[in-house]
Amino acid sequence: MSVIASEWHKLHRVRSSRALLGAMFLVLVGSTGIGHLMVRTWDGMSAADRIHTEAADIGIPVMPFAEFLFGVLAALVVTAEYTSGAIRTTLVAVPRRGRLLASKLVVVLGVAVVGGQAVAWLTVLATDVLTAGRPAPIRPWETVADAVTLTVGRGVGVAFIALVGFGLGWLLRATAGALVTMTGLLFVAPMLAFFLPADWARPVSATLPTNLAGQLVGAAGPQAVYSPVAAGAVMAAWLLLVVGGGWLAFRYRDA
Amino acid sequence: MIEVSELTKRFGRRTAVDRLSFTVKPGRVTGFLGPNGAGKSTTMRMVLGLDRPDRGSARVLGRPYDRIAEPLRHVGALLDAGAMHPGLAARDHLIALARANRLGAARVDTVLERVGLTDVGRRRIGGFSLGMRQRLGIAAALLGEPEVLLFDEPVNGLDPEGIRWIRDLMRAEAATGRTVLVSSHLMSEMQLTADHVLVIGRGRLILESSMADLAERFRRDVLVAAADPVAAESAFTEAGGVVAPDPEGMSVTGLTAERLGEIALRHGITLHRLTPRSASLEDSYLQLTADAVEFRTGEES
Repeated sequence: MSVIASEWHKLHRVRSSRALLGAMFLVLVGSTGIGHLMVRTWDGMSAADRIHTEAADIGIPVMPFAEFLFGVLAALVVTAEYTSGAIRTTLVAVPRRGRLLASKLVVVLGVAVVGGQAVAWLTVLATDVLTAGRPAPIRPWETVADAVTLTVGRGVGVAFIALVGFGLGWLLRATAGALVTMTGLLFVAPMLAFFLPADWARPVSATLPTNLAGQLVGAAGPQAVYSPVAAGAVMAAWLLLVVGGGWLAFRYRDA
Repeated sequence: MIEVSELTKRFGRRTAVDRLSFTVKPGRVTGFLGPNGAGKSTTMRMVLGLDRPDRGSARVLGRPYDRIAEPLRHVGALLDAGAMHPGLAARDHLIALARANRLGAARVDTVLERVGLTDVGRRRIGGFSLGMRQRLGIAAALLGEPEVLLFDEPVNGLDPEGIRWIRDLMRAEAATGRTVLVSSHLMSEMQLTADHVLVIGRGRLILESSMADLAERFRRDVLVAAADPVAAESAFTEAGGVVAPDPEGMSVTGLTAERLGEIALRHGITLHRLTPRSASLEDSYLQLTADAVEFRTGEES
């Protein structure tokens, strides 16, 4: 517990965490603004045009940002200590490496689970308020109760990506390397998958980290390739690879 | 108490630390001397469990470092001044370390006061000068009132007043029975701080000595080897010289080489050697370490 308290103190007091929280807030406000514009445009449309509109679901622009920002936060918990050399001071205070990694993991997971769910639910509430009294397709669901599974899944997605970022931090030890790899995995890989032959594109895309949480909660719709259990297994495999590899690197390399 | 036994560390082909063994005893300041790249920092990192030795072992208070529960209560270390997160305030850096070892916030304020950083405790480390970081690192080392202290090049970046302060601090800690190991590449610095020195070069122990013996050994004197040492000693003593034993003959102080030659002639004593030795401690140290680099031996001619 004492090491968890120590890691939490660092995470919530360090300047970069506050910057990331501020960025998250700006993305939420900006996306709500976009949603508001979409609804206003919809209000001025003819009945024929209204049918072809996209849903004003604020979560669609916000969640990829949330995944990225919490992934960066998780990677920084590790890489900022390596880049500055602080990891050596930390290890002098906590020489048991398993204990240190586990404590950081608990803090990162706690922050990402709470943060991910908070952001996901804020987007749902904002969407609900903006589209109130309007029908589908501009309103993505009839009542908030219909959006529970989708929203929980989005929050889980944020926590999952944060763990991937955490593992990458231990593996790469450098902020720049972790950010580039995360950008590749989150934004570039889905595009590359899109250009694969048709019978490859779907399974590859479904296996990418960004698309697994939706399948886990059964909210991925027609794009789903994996059953919830299979999606959970693929997620576990990703974490075993990245966090497990990170642990081995930390355990056996010199600090 | 720090015990290092047959410690070896290789980086690729280069052997940074080569079967190094020594013991650091409590109650005195032990200087860990060697030129840059001699393996001082690598040895300290292995003692603290940061680097894994290829062979050998290091023990602190009788245990491998990672077997010490809440180690800041027993061991304090000042590593390079950069070993802290620039985005944290000084006080938060110390609080995080204190929490990890269940030390109270009162200790944080005490050590901040002791190193003179109370007024800047809420400022971020990123804006600190090298000297301020060094003081903060020392505060972290003192946090748990440890009985063992390791300082890696603590005077780096400190101003003259700061250098004097850290010197007095180390001497005061050793005087209360604590174990203090301090590394430096400057003999002149150790001369003022350490009671005991370990000199290493190329990862090997070249010399271990008390500071007093080292100063004695290297003071300005004349090395004399005589066919009849007993007669020579009495003749030199009679003339006002002070004679001390030396592995290669006798060491004479208080008389010049010329004068010794005249005395020997007058007494009919054959001299085999008559060598004035005027090396300062710093010169001797440079010679010792240069030999280690070139020939891996501590023998002098």
